[in-house]
Amino acid sequence: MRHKRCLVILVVSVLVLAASLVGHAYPQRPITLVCPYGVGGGTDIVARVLARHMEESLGVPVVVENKVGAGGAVGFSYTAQANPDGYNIVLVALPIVTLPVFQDVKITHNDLRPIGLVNGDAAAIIVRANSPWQTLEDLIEAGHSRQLRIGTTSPGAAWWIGAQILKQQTGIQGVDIPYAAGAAPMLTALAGGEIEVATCSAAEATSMLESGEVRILAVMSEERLPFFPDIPTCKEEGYDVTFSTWRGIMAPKDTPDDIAAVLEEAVKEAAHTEAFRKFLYDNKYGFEYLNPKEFKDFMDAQFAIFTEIKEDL
Amino acid sequence: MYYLQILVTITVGVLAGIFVGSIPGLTATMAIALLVPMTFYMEAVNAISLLLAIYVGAMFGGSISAILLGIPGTPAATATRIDGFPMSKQGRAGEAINIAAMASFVGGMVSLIILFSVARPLARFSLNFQSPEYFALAITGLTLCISLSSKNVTKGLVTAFLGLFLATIGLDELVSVERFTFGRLDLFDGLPFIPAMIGFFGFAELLVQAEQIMEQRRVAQKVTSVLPTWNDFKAILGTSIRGGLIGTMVGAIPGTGGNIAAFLSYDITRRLAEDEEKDKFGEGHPQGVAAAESGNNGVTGGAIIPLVTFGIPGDSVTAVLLGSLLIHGLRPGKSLFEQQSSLVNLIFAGMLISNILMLFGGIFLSRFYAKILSLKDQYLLPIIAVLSIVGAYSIRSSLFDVGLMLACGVIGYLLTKTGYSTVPLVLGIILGPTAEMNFRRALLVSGGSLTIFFTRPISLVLLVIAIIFLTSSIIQQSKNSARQRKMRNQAGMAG
Repeated sequence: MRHKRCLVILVVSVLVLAASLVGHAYPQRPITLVCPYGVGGGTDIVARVLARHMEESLGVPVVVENKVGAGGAVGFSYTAQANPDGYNIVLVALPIVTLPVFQDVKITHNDLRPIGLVNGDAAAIIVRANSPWQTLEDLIEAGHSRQLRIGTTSPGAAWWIGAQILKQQTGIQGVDIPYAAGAAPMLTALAGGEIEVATCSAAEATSMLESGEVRILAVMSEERLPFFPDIPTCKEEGYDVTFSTWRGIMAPKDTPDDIAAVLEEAVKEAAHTEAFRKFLYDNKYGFEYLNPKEFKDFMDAQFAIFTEIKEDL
Repeated sequence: MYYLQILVTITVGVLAGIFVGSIPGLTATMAIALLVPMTFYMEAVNAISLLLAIYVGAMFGGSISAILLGIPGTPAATATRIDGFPMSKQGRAGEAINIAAMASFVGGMVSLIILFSVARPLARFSLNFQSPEYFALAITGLTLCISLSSKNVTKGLVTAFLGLFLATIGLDELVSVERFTFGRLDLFDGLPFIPAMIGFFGFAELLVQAEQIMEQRRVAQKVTSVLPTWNDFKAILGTSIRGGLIGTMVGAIPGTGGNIAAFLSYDITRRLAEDEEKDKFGEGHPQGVAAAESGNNGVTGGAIIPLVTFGIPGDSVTAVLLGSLLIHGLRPGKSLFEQQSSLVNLIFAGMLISNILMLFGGIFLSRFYAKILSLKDQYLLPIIAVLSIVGAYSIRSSLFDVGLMLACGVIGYLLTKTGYSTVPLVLGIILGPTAEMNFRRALLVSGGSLTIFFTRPISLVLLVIAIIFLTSSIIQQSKNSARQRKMRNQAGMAG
């Protein structure tokens, strides 16, 4: 008797559950947004703020989960292999196109489906506060006559690429001094005089700029950055040097079109909210938005550029 | 009401920090990382006080499992284990935890006072630390632990080099080439050192104890006299102030962390001790626990110095703290000091209260923690096994790490049985990358000339210290063995 009643309750509840799932539009339950980088880092913060605004239009929680390792490859691979049901998405960044070029990492941007690009941070060319160089021209002149000590991240990582582009386009000579842990130790080394010049994003350099330890000579963007209206771009100075890191949302490759469309709309809306843009501006992150098509073309182009840099080495 | 709310937040943070820090594998970084998403929805002051409270609590909490189980709860508590674990084997676990709490408190307070008064000059000074200095500091830390962790320098060197070898696994960050990874993504970022540490310390110790389980040795824990007296406090005050100073200095140098501070403080204390006292270090000397704990808690204030002045995080914990500051729209740097001075004062006040609460919380909890050891081995050892496995798994949710932990446990067991200390090995793994990368980077800067290490004053001094420490230990060792030979000969003649 007891067993029968249990069985009835079980069957009914399964039916009710099934009924509630069928015929309802996506999304039904919380969405996992994988962040391939550590808690508290730049990408993590962007992921969390974006997730909060995506929740507003999706109506379900967007939960940030950090899957850290191998320069981001762990997180990218995790989502690439996840169920393509719209409940698994990942915040990708520049390494999705650099890792397969410079590292023996199998995953590429073609293994994921682009949803939208939400941010781009141009590289800034930074020197020590008491450096003799006042302009980009001074730096290039010095770099033509002797070997400069140029701070970079690990070969293949963002600010190493920034330095390579700077060297290739301006013809300056230099020894790369890599700081694996990223911009923070690089900036400390710059302020301490171990290196003479470095590239990193405005967001990363701001505290050191304010403390008066370092200066920006020029930025590697198409137009001047809104938070540094007085600092020229390399293009203005006559050098075709542009380089940015960026962040965007991708989903497993086989995510169906109708579900992807919902996500695309949510990302687009979230990226354009006043609050998200204010967050970016306040932290000196650059705002940029690309739709899935543009995002795909952009990554293809980047992949080609980096492959070329690799071959030139 | 507002302040009461902050007070409650800090209390919760300190207790949570102590608890999480005391579980092997759950580090201060992890405790904070888990809570960052939560603080996202809190008010800035509450959020920052909570995170700082956890930081302070977890730094101390790491010493609890180092003392009780011989597994440092956080890497920074490795030095605490040297004297803390023997103390608990002697039934003085409660006393050891009390000393750790008091020393942590003093160390934390010293660092806070320095943070409050000379943050900016100290931050500027820390800029003198460049690749050669980091290399020299890592080597000094390594030689210190070789000379003090085992009576036999040769064996210490063997395990230290084994650790340095293991540290080469992973991506070579200077040229982006994988070394000894066999194509596995699990090893791409290097040998995960927390699972390795849990294996070498925790699981190896478990195997040693499991072997002795038949003997039914039972050490009664003296839990009755756990309230420390003023005299107990006075006895460790000098050591702890020195430890706090060392911790703050080392903490202020970005990217060094609590390990070196704790070992530096420990070794200086040991060298300053009277000759007859010296031999007691490593066998349960209260001053050893005090020196190590004050050193690693001194780092808390120190590591915040480059964070609040230059926005440069001093260790992995402050890196996470930086993120949460940014989430609340607070960018560290000059403007934070000038425009938000009330906030900065609140942060200082929060750390002050955290330290006081940690002292009382630690003393209060010590009796309960010490009781854990009165469990029979049949119950205690499985608990340690579970903690080790969960701890190793939880870092990256990876079964690979569990296997690695078990393998390290077996290797650690074999090393312990043959008289090799695993402390230099673990320090080798932790400091290896710092030493190697900075050595090579310095050579890139100097164009391949080794003189860069000897022409810069700080680097020169540190390297000279390292050489003196190592050679004096070797001389000591050969003296000891000569004496032993003599005694044996005399005994032989008498017979």
